[in-house]
Formats: sequence, structure tokens, C-alpha cells
Amino acid sequence: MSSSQKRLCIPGQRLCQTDDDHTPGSGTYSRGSFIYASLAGYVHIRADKDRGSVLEVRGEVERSTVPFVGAIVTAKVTHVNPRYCKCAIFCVEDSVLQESFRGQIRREDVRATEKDRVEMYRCFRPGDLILARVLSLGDMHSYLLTTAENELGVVIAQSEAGVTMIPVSWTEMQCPKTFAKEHRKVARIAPPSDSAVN
Amino acid sequence: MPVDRMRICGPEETRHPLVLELCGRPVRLFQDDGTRLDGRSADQIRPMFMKCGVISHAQGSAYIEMDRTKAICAVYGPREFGKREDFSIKGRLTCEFKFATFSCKIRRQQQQDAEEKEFSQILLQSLSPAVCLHKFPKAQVDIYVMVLENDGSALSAALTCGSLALADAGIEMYDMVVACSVVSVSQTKAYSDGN
Repeated sequence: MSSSQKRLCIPGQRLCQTDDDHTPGSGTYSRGSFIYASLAGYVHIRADKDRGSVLEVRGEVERSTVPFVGAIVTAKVTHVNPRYCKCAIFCVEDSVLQESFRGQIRREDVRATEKDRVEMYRCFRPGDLILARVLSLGDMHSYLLTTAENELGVVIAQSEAGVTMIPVSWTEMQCPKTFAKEHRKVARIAPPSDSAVN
Repeated sequence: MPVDRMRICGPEETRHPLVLELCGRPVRLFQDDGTRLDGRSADQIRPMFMKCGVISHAQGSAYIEMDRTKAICAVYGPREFGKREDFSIKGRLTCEFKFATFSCKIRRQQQQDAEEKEFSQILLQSLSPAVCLHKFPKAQVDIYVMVLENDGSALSAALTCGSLALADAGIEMYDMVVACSVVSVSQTKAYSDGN
């Protein structure tokens, strides 16, 4: 489907009729029997085998999103407490937020196994960069996050000597300068699939 | 009600020279053939200029000129709630309307006065139904409008400008909001976009 004829639209502009062939996607909404745009941008039509053609509106610049349930977020740990740890969410999936949101990881959401024997100070330290998943919107203070998956947890951490540590196992990271090992809940980051194999 | 105690406003006995000029003299509103002073008919609006993306730090921004009335708007968000007491699972909109101190014939206060607070409420009531608040739960969008020059219909300019800035910010809306001021002089005659 060539996009040489890009259609510009503004919020509230009627795009087409809602029928079996057309479904509203992101940036659009349906009211009555028509699909309207809800963003200012270009109209894209994506072919989907279940829903026919899906109409989407995308702006020129990627707009920042709000953390939603199930999203993988990048956060920095700010406080550590025996019951929970607080963090500042910087990125939601691929988009970087302009202003950070507050998140919280409870003791029982740190790992999937042995939930009651978790020691928060041996999993996270203030200043660690973590990957977590949004469990729920939480309360008025912070979003509720979880790291109870192999691919979630601490990605970058600095040792007490101030050097970025290298992960050794899923519970330990080692400082390359002092060779001291520190306890963290380490994320298992897979290397990119197109990296050179040697 | 916070009072501005920091600035020296001059002795209390002074009067602005414009006050002496305005009162007492009858003002002509129409020309002899019934058109307005600037040649417009009853339903003609002033020429407009609009531009988006004028404030680099804001998520979205817009500038509007309706002949000599000028307004600029900045939209920040969706970001975390400012006041924690007003927690809601739906998104929230806050509006702040301000006349620049040099914008009107009589110098305005630095802080928001009652008229500006009322205009902020009107802005909020007009823009809230148009925004898809359920798309940003637990977050708020802040809209700041400043009128740089007030030559009539400042609130309409601010409303249109606010809606443009929201669209520029990529906030999902059901429709654009436009505003125009109307004065009805009799049951059959109304004049739009006064200046």
C-alpha cells in the first residue's frame, strides 16, 4: 500500500464509515457509524487479517505516552526499604518521557520464586537502572511495578567504588576494578540478534 | 487571597490618565452606514494568524493573532499529578489564563485576579469535554495561556489557541474547540468578534 498520497487530518475529522472492513486503531475513535480522528497527523491504513483494515493516525513526532498496564518501563531506583523500593520511571517501552513518573516495587513482586525470602537491599540499591513491567496503575503516589521475570531487573548498577558492574549471575554483579561482588536482582538481557557471531 | 506586597505601585492617590480620558466622552461604535469602525460587517471576523510549535520546551504550543489581539499557549503533559489530594483514575486537565501586565489599556496585576481566575475556569470547562481524558489515566495535562495584547475577544483567542496547542501536543481529542465572541444588540442583530 503506497503512502505517496498521505492524508492529513485533524482531531474530529471524519475518516470513514465503521463497517466490517474498517476498524478504528490508535489515534482514532468511532462514534455512531463513523470513524473520526483524535490526533493531528497522517492517516495510515494497516491491513489486519482479523479486523480488516485498521485506520491509524500518527503524528510526525513520536509523542510521549503514559505508563500502561503490561508495558516494560525503564526506571531508576530512588529509595530502598525492606518492604518496597521506589523508583522514577524514565521510559515507557521505546519512548522517553519528558517528565518522570513515580513507581513502586513491592517485596513480593521482585522475583517469581521464593517471594517471602526476598531481601530488598540485596536486590536493588539507589541509583540502579532497572527494567520492570507495569502491574497496575497503583495508588495516587506511584505506579505498581514488578520485576518477577527473568528479563526484568537491574540492568546497569554502579559498585561502591563508582564503577559500572558486570553481571555474573542472576543474583550477583561484579565490579571490574575491585572485583568485589554485590547482590542484585539482575535482568537477563539477551544480546541483539544481528550482532556479529565470533 | 494573596496580595502582591513586593512591588511599589505608586502613591494611592494617583489616577491613571486614561481614566480621565475615557469617562465623560461618548464613544462612537458604528459608522454612518451601519458597519463597525474598522469597516467590518456584523458577521465578519478579523483576519487571523495561527502557528503551532512556538515554545520549544513545551510538549505542544500555539500562537494566535486576531488582528491586534495576540495570545500564546503552552501545553505540558501528560505528566504526574501535581496535587495528590485530587487523585482520580481518569486523566485531568488544568488551565491557567493570564493577561500579560502590558496587554490591556490599564496595567494588570502580576498575580491572577478574579477575572483571570474566572476565564481559567471557562477555559477548563470548554476544553475538558473535548479531550479524551481516559487515554491518560492518573496523569494531568497543564495548559497555560497568556494574552500578550488584548484588543477584544481575548478569551475566544485563548480558547482557540488552547485547542491548537493541545492538538500540537499530540493529546487525543474528540474534536477541535473554536470560540468567537458575540454581542446581540437586538432580537435580530448580533455582532461577532468584537474589538
